[in-house]
Amino acid sequence: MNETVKEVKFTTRDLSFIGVIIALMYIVQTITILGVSALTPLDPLKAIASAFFVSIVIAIGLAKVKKIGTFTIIGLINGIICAFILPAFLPLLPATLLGGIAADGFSKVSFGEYGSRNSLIGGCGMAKLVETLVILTFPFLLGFSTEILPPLLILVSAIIVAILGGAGGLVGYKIASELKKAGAME
Amino acid sequence: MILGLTLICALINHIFLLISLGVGILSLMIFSKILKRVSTFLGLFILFAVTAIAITAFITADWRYALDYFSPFLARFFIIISAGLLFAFTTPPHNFAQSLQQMKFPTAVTFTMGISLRYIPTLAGEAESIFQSLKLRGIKFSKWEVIKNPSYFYRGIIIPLIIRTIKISDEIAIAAESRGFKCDQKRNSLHKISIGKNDVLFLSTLSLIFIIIIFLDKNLLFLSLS
Repeated sequence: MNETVKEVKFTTRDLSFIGVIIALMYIVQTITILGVSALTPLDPLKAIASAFFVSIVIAIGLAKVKKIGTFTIIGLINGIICAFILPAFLPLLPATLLGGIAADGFSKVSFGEYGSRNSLIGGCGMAKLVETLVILTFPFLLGFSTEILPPLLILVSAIIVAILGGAGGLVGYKIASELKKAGAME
Repeated sequence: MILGLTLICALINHIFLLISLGVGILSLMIFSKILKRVSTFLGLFILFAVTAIAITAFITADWRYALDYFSPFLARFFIIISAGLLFAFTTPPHNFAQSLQQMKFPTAVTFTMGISLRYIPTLAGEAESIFQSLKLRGIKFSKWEVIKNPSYFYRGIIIPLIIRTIKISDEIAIAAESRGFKCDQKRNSLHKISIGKNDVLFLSTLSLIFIIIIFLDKNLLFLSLS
């Protein structure tokens, strides 16, 4: 039982890249959610619309940093910004944070770290699945809404969002690979 | 305040008290002189509320049912959003990040959050510049064009924006390290944020109001008429 536990340490470069990626993600998220909000007030459709594009940006961030814990930091900061600044809706904080933790846990157990194609697809998919499940049930659990969406609709929405998240992860991986080949990314 | 209001909203059931709380927050917005700036966001909320009620009323052919069904939900939603907007428009982002730092949040979180908040407008500007430079080269991006030729959008906007993002992040890292920043060390600041008399007064008043509202919600029967 003499296992050595490798400690994950984030460098300044990692953190600054994560910070800028979150800013980019926030812009992408705002544009897609505002676009969908103009057409429909339904929450599941907003989550579905933003999942693909947001996951592309997250996957690029994960492909560069590679360390487990990155998704939790992204989830926490994005959650704080969404909960306390704009759109200022508190239930978004537990949703993004739990999504990040779930993705990190899944990738740690299945792949060890981010960087491979499957780890990005799996991580983004898992994060979006948990995020959607929490965001569609948390307002009801807290008592903001009197009626919860039908469980089947919640499950179908979560699966669609997870698939789109995974697809976004794949596209993000391809972009990151191209940038690495071009020498623009390490 | 946001956490308190969120919990209060979950605890209160009477629509009269929820509306009173909403009016209270609106008064705070007027007092803080931010009502004009938040009016766009409140306008979007009103649009959302009217749309939701109208759709339900149209489907059920019963206006009263639609109003009864949506009123508590929309009142709670309004309170939470207004509290968030009040916080967002009266607290500078760097003060918020510094407060988290003083509350012993890890440096990794506060540093990253500071960068995110600082660079949202910068990156939006970068995207706009890239977009304009493409226009100057004669490439037009209509919605239809993006769907027809997604590679234009990918090569023209996404790749340059990500390369710019990487460069910006490297510059930030170099600037931070050259000023002695280290992720695993405690940061200090020239100006400390502390809790003043006004904060204590505001917090006490808010707590008192919360207690009165919960008391009214649980004990006064006449409110059930609402």
